[in-house]
Amino acid sequence: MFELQGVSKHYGQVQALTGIDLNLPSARCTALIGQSGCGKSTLLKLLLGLELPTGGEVRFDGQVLVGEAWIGARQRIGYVPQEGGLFPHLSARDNVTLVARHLGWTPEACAARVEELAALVQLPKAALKRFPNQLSGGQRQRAALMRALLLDPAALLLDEPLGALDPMIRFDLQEDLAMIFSELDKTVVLVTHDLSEAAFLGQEVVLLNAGRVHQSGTIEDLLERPVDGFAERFVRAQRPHLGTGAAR
Amino acid sequence: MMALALLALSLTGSLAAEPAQEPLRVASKSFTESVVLGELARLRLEGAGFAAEHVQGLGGSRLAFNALIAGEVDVYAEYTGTLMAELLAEDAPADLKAASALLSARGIVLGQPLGFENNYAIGMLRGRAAKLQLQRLSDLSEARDLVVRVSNEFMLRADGWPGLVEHYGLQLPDARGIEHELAYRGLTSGSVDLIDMYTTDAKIRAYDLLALEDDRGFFPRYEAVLLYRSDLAERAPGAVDALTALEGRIDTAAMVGMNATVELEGRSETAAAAAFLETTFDVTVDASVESRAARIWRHTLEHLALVGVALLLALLVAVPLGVVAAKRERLGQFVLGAVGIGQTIPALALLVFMIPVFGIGSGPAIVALFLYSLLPIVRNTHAGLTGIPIGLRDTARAIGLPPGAALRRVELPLALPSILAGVQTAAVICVGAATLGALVGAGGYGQPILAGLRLADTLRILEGAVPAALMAVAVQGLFELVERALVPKAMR
Repeated sequence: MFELQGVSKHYGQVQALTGIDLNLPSARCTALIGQSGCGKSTLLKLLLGLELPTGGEVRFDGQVLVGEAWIGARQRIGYVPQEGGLFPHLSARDNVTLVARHLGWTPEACAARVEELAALVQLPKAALKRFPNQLSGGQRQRAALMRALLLDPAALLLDEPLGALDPMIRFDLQEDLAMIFSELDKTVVLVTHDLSEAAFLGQEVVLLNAGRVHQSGTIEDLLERPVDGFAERFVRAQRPHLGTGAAR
Repeated sequence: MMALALLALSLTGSLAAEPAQEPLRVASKSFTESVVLGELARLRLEGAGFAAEHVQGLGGSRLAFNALIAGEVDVYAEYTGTLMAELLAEDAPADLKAASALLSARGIVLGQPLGFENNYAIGMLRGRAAKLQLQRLSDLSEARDLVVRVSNEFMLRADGWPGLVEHYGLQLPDARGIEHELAYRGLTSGSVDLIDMYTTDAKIRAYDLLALEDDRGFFPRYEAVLLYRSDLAERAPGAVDALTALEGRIDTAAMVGMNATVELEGRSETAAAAAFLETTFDVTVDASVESRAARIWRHTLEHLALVGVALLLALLVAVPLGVVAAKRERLGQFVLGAVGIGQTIPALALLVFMIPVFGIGSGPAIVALFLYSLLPIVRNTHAGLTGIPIGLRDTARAIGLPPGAALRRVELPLALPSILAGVQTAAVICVGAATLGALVGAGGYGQPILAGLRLADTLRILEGAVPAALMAVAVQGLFELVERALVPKAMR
């Protein structure tokens, strides 16, 4: 669905991405992992056309998009920004239906779709009336996910969707996301710095460091056959600590 | 609410009852005598069966003169000295005959003298003059530390203070412009020594002032005359006769008397003019004036119209400008700079600049208020839009909204509290600045303030100042309500 060939991106002197060759296949969940500042979010922006590459090509559905074509493409890509990115002046419901209303959906069509999605992401009906600052962190993420899914997009991009949540809420949402991804069968790109989350949700893993792809493949490959010292250290840094004290 | 509706009804009723013919327009400058002469002209025209209105108290000779040339008004009273030395100074007419020819080329008739002169004079308290042994203007050439406060126009006119200084070789450094009525107060309180005054001024007698003798003949003669449009005779047959009947009929004593009626007895200019007409022409004149309540109501409507129209226009222009400024950084700096410069032009100067283009009346006032409203609205629109977190702006694009829809559905609503605050600031500025509109004949609360200043009538000043302050407070409150209605509680 997304193909990147020799993509680089720099802001002035700062090199954010260098020589990225990636093929993000359809109907699979790819986790982009790496430390903060490794270029994960920049990569996501390139996939959405919010930024244009300094070098190389980004293809969506086999095409290099320019100008207006991006608007249509973005309507086929669901996007969940960090911490949900809900607009504070709109209720959860109006956030969810924003683009649909722009596209001229009838209120009935909007309402029906909202009901469907609320059931899917398990957002209580009462929460739909509230404004973002009246929702819990988990509810905000669920509403943001509904907004991303409203137009039934071909792809779904999530930028650290669970980063700021409490562990238990995070756990529930991870479970629900896994269920939703398998149910919807969409191309999913998930940015995270959490290896276990990547392992739990992702079928493919791309490890980024300092703007380069260090390793891409299955999670088993990364865990068992790290390609270099960085990959090995990244994996080791995220091993579970529970019980290690007693084992020593 | 009912009362408001009834008032509105009665107002529209009175409008409908007016004759279809465009009323003839009389103008006056912002001093008592000019207003009295304006009322004389208006009452004469009405007596002859014409609908006439009086644009009172324009803020300068040039303003009234230009309005006459532009056909904004039909007649006003001027002084030959002002005409020769100031209004026609560029053409330098040798005498009144030449001046008359110049005027008629511009479509203006120079009437015959009304019968009195109102010459400029330099005056001081008689007691103070005796103490300093000053009698003639040439006596001033030895003086150094006298405090001179002359009217602002006199301070600048070639036939005013600068010419006088040169003609008599004066060396009086502490000379400044001041509102004429305040100069009298300074004189009586002892903080001012010399003022400019007019020889028909009622206050000469009241304050026992001495007009220093113009022993080297500097001041030209200021014979009062009517200036009216050449086409008046054709447009309104009989109007010119009604006006010229005044010629030669107003002697100095009569004029001083009318000025005294207004300034010392506190009666209206209309009453003074009517009394004169009744004795001089043996007619009965309807000198009824509006009640105070009706007058305040009319000024309220005029003021609201000025502020409302200016603000609406400013909104239509400033919000798009603010958007452009926020979207194009370089252009934005230019736009913000340009509207900022607009704000630095003094209100009075701005009003005067507008006259040649927009005439007199509410036009120039609205344009000036419009320009003043631009900066707060443009600036706050710009600040509101650029203050939106970059993440939210990116998200609006990322979820597939085209730029226009992102602006309309996300960015402008998010910037709304800031934009509303800008409009609120602009509205409050407008309510205050609109009081200056009276100087260009726009009416509003400035009218009683100016009249009150002119007549040293505090009650009259308050009649404009208090409602203006109340309106500013009301506007402030109104915008809080608008914000409450438009901005979701969660965002406030």
